[in-house]
Amino acid sequence: MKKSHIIGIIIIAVCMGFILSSLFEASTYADFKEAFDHAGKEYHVVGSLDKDFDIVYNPETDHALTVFHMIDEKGESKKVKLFKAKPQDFEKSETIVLIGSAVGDEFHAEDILMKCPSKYEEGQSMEALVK
Amino acid sequence: MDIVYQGEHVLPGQLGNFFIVLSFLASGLAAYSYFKASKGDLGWNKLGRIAFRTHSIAVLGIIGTLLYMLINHLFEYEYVWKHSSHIMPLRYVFSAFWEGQEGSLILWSFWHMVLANVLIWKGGKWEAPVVSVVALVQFFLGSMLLGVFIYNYQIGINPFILARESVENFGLPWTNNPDYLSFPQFMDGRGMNPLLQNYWMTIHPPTLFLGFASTLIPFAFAIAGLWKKDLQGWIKPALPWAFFGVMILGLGILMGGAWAYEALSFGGFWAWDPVENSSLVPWLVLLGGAHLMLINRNKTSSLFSALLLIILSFILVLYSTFLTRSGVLGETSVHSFVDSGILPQLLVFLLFFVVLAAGLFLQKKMRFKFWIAQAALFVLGVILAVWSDSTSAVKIPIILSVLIAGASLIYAYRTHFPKSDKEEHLWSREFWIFVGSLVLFLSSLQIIIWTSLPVTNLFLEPFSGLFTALHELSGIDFFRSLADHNFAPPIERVMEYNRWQIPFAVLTTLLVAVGQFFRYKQTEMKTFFKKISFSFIVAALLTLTIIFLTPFSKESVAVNFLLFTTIFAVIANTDYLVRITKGKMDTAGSSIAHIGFALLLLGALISTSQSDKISRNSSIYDVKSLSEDLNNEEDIVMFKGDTLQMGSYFAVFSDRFREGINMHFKIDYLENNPNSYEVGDVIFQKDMVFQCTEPHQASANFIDDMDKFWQFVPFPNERQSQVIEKWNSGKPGKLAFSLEPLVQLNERMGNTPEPDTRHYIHKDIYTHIKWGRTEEAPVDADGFLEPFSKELAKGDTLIGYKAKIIVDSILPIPDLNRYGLVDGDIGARIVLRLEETERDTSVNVIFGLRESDILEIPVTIESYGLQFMIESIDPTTGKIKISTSEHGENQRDFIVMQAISFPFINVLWIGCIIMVLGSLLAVRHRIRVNKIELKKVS
Repeated sequence: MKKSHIIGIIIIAVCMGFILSSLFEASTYADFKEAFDHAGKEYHVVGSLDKDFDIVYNPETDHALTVFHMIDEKGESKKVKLFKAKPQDFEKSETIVLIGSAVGDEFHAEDILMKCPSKYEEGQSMEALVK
Repeated sequence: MDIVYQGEHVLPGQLGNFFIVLSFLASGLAAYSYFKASKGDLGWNKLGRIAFRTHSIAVLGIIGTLLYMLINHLFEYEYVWKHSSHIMPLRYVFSAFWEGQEGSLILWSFWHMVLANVLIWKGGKWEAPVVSVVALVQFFLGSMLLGVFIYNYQIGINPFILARESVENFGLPWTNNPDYLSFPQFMDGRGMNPLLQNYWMTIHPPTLFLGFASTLIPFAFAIAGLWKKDLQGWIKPALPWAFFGVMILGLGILMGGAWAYEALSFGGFWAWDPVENSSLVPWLVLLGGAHLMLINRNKTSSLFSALLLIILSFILVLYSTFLTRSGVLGETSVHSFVDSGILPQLLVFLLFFVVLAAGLFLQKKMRFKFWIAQAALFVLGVILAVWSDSTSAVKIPIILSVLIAGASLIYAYRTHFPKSDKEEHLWSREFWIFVGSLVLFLSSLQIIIWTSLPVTNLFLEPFSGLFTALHELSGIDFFRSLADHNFAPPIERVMEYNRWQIPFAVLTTLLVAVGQFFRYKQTEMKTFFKKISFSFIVAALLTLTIIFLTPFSKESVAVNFLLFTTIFAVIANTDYLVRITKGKMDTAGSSIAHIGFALLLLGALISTSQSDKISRNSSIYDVKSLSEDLNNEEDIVMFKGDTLQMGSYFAVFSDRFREGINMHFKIDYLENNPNSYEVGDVIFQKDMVFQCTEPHQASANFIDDMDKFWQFVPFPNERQSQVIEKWNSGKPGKLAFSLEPLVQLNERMGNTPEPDTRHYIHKDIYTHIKWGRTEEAPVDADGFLEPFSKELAKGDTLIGYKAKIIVDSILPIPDLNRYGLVDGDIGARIVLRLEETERDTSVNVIFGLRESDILEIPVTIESYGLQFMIESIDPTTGKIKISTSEHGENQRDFIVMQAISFPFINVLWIGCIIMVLGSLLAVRHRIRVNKIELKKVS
């Protein structure tokens, strides 16, 4: 077979590999219902802060635990335990993405992505991932 | 009746709009004129120049007008109001200029204009076709600044609209008020995001956008080559431009990394974030394409690939624009923006050039059939978009369009591209540079496919039904995930990307190391191996030394290979520079750039793999504290005044103060001096008490010393208990340095932490605040915090900041006068016991009732900073309601922070600089070579 054909086939095979790997390695966005139906499995859950409940953060007792309630996109509110310090300006966040899994009646989040109002211009705003 | 608004400066806006329309139309005319000129008619060439020059002046006019508005604070204009304010220092006016969508489009357009003018100045036979392509791109960009409405659909976003005319404010009552400019909201603009008010925002966007703009020029040359059927001739004139692009775009991307490292708190310089990735990918493809151009400039061997990659690099810039500005990224990126409604425009922009370029690969008849088919698909798409309720249907023509373009590329390759009878020799420079470009291409493919997950989700949507059916038929779960089209980035994003990219980096740097030692056409293998053997051996020895002497041995095989290949690349290219180029500046560019590239990767490798979160495993050095010492969290809580052992330092949170809009937290880093123990010293370690038997200097771990120098004391006596201290491997010495990470406070934009870093030559200590007190708790005139009430019974306890408060007893008062009460009052004496570590105190608080009015008798205990008052007593339950207030100074200030050490990160930055310098030399060399060849011909 010509070298160029071999290269072509390799490229196509590798390309398929990348596409499939991106889908296999991917996590999924889910709502609380799905996360709680598959307790223990990791998901990305999108939602916003439930203002009816307090945000509890006591760094003197545990500096890496923030407890709050989140309403997912379907309107369900669940208690969330985030194993990180309380993110700056958490109260002002518009959208939150939790990365974690459901445990019992709580959602345990290892990580969180936040979007705050007016921080995100249509242009060049740079903001840190809350890690 | 037309409202006359007071105080509006209408003229600048009108002037700005005039310039926008002029710029738009002139670019269209220039594109058309140069198109005609390319067919050979020189008259059109003249018109093209006039048109483009007019366009250039108009662009400058747009910029001048907007700058004028910003400097003069004309807040009636939406853009000025959104991005600037009175207190903004003038030096940030440029940052404000390109902070918004419209401004950055203008910046991009500006650079295209500048580069095209250079092309026009140079002239030559390529001017017409190349500039016509640039002018066409300017036409599209110009349309994105128009802001005109066709029916309900908005084309472009206009930078010069008045705030009262903007879509967001449409219909609001104040827009009809002639005096609206005197309203408080217009007294000042919203202001720039304070996070962007730094010098990075002044230098990074223009560099980056110049980089993006520079991918257009080689692209335009490639298009011109295909168009004029001169598949090779475009390469030589375009070479300097291609490497110029490599240099500037690379610099722009690295600036972004440096900015992130210096000012953002994610603790690094690269996060594989979608916006970062989408600017890296065009660069990698351009890099590959530029190298392919090099090997095809005299003799063609991989012409198709060269054309493809160069064209792809600009298409990827358009794709990157689509990803970042359309809002399609949604929640996957912290950079993602609110959808400003220009998604369809960006999509059309992107697809137009994909279809244009793909068609040019085909020959005449096929070409037109292809374009007509694509046009039909476009019309179908528009119809579906306008007439259908959902966006599902319109995705089908888009997918078809891209698939047909891809298929036609394959067809074109097979039918039209010259294939040499002799295949390249395996040991030739052509072959191995081709392999290198292939690796770069695959690397960028991985990045862009993973980054495009949201786009994949979007285009899986119309097939949801199909996948659900397949899932039901086969029972395979994967089909259900496809039907849900809700894929999210992998949980451990950085790790997953690195898993793919490190092997690619290994292959790339290996080729960078040996590539130049291959000769064109064919290489004598013996000579080749002899030439690289020196570098290979030195690199191998160095690598092995590093692996054995440092924690590198714990890293994965891939990482260790990368260590080797990057070192190999540095040494081999230095060798080539010295031995073969003999240091001649002219041709040294490539070797120097390669050295820089390899150092960059080496620096990134070392600083990332060996980075140490030194705040983890820190231990409290407080001699009084008997608490658990090891802390395995990444972050550490530091109370003000506490000394913590952290890595090779002791850290103290010493101060917190506010400066302007920033709350500074001062952290002192003290030297960690070796600790020595004498005979008889008593320590505790992990709740066990030990006595020292021999004088010694403490090792890093207690375990190493335990058997040799310490004797376990199961029952410590009185004397031992008094002198007992926590074991420590070191003790705090003098101040090494102080860092002041801060939190930027802004009511509107939100609190943002900013790190502070100590730079040494061999490492960086990076510190940032995860949580810190940003507001002072309100105190009364005497400094006491707000009181809180609690209901307590006898024996109950309250925990204060400094002491435990126990309700000891509730007693009657036999002698009312003694406690300031008079006859007829009812009183009770409540005894509170205050417990602190050192001592206990009792305090009397009196409750008095006078004619059913409760007397307020506060009691203050200054030494404890406490204030009490009894609010009521319930005689039936025996419970008292007591109000307690603590003095503000009782609160121990604390922070939660993270400190990371990045070893040898300076290698990364030095590598960047060297790479840019090397590329500059290479560009200079290419320009010179072209000049010489031109002279030869004429």
